[in-house]
Amino acid sequence: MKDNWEEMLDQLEEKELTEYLPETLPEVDEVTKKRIEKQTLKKMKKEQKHFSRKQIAVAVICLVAVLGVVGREPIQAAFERLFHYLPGAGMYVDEEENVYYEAEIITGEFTENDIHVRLKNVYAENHAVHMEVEMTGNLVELTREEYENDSPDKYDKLEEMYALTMEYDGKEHEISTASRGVLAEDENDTYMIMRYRRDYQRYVKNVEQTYTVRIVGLENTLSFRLTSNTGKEQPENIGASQTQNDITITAKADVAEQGIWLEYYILTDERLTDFDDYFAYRLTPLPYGCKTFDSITQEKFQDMLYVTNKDGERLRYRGQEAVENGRRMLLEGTAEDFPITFHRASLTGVGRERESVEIPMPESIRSLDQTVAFPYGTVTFEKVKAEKIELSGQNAAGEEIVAEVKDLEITYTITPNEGKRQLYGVFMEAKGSLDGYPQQIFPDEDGKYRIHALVGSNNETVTLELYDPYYWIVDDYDLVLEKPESVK
Amino acid sequence: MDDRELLQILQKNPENGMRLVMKEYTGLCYYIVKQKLADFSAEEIEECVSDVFLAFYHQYTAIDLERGSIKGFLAVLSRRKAVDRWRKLAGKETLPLQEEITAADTLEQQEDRQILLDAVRALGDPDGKILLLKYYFGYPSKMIAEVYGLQENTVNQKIRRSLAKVKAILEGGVCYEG
Repeated sequence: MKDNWEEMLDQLEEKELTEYLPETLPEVDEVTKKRIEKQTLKKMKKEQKHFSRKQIAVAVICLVAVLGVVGREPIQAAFERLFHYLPGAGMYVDEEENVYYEAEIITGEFTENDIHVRLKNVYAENHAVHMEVEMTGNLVELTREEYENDSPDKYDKLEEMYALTMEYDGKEHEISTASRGVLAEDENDTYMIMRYRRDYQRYVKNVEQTYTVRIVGLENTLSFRLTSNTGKEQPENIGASQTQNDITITAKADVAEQGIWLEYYILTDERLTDFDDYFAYRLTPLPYGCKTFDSITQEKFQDMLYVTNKDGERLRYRGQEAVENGRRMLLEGTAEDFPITFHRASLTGVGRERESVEIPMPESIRSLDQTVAFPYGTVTFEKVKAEKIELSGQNAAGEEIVAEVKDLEITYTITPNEGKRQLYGVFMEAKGSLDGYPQQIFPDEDGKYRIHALVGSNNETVTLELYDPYYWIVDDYDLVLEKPESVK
Repeated sequence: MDDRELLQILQKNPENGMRLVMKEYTGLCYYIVKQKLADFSAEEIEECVSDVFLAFYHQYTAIDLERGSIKGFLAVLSRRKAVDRWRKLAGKETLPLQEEITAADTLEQQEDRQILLDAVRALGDPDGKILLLKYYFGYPSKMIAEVYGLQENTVNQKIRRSLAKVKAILEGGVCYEG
């Protein structure tokens, strides 16, 4: 009987277990935990290497496609200057002679056939009209082959089903998307596309007019009107604002049926991890003072950003979306909760500096005494260890080859400067490395950082490039929002 | 950090996200696996737990926070992975995990589980929870005693009695409090 009863337990499903899930989780000893973590990460990396060639090919194709569509200059320009248009607020700080247009949303969303359609981030800069259309619901079911990352089938199918047109200048125009993304649910052998997001940029000569967006298969339409925004309001006027360390954080809140929508913007010339997708995908900002994952507690993580109500209670976070230079967060709450306080702890900045250092290749181990100074702290190289290993594989002609390489382990420490900007990490790449990819490195238990690289065994030195140093900007921001801007 | 934040980190930076998941849930997965693989070496248990996390890494996008949680997802994944490995180690016929998870849930199995859950519910609170902590989540009695502020021997006594009651119900008998 015992076997049967345990076999029945084996079959329990997640929903049946819900009420029995333990609140207090057990711990295992640190050594076991580390061993399991190491094993898992090793397996993950093995898979990543297996897929890396395919991913590089996809990335190159994407890059070519982007350059082809948008052109080199606009991309460069977008990276080089700060873009201060604030779609959520309809205000901007114009540092150049650009003309901006503000959107008045006439119909911003609708639900039809259980599909919710929403218009987002509508604005125009000079003659370029920007908008984003997001559809959510059971949009289309795809087979695994159709869904595969590098398969164009999913987008073909989605575009066929939900092609979009925009009416302006008295005519209906077919427009193609500048970028798009899907969110899918894995349903065993098939995928259900639950969200389809499309960005559009369209050159329009006479920008100031009304636009109507239609989607194939849906009767309802979206519409908006663009009008030139001649006011040059400072973002500080949006709501509550605080400036320190040359960084301004400004926030406002509106009360809606779903809860409190809080928008905040960070205005700075520095590169921040918060709103930069390039860094968001490879750099996890840590709470101030935490250098390793083990030192992050749930409390410290939650203390990085939170909102409290008039009684000092934290408002429950329900979701967020990106806006230019900021975030729009949905919180549980009502007008009764005001005044509310938006709290943001130390930000993480990423420097533009790039340095290199020549590391001698030892036979086995060698002490180092080399330092690289950044404006936020110093990196000191202490030791390099090398181990000869043989790598086997196939060359381009498909022949089996064996190569001797050195597995390097370079040990270094980081000493942050005193003051408001304190270094806590830097990306590194060994030139000519056979296995390197940009990676956030965390110190080991002894406080020292270790980077590994496979390099050719005949090299006498290895050049280590240090780039994207990241640092805490040590100050907390507390913005009190006395009342909501609007209540619906 | 709540599940939504954790999933966001996983999407943005899978490696860092997985470190955080492991930091939080290694204990949970370890004890579930250990409960099933108690007769095998510590290496087998650790290897299985790392397989659980690798499977989680492959499948976490399927988590629907409206209906479930990372904790629940990992708990089921741990149990299924442990059963799979146990079958392999014991030389029994085995199915790949994915197939096993998605294999058709027969009406008979559903009914069996419902009877089991009814039997566990009939034990009342906290006895039902204690029984599952012991036999599903693999918590040692000492740990359960700490959670509920009971003596360890009281926990053991409750478990013995609860198990007898559940077995009686499953065998079709009637169980009386006593």
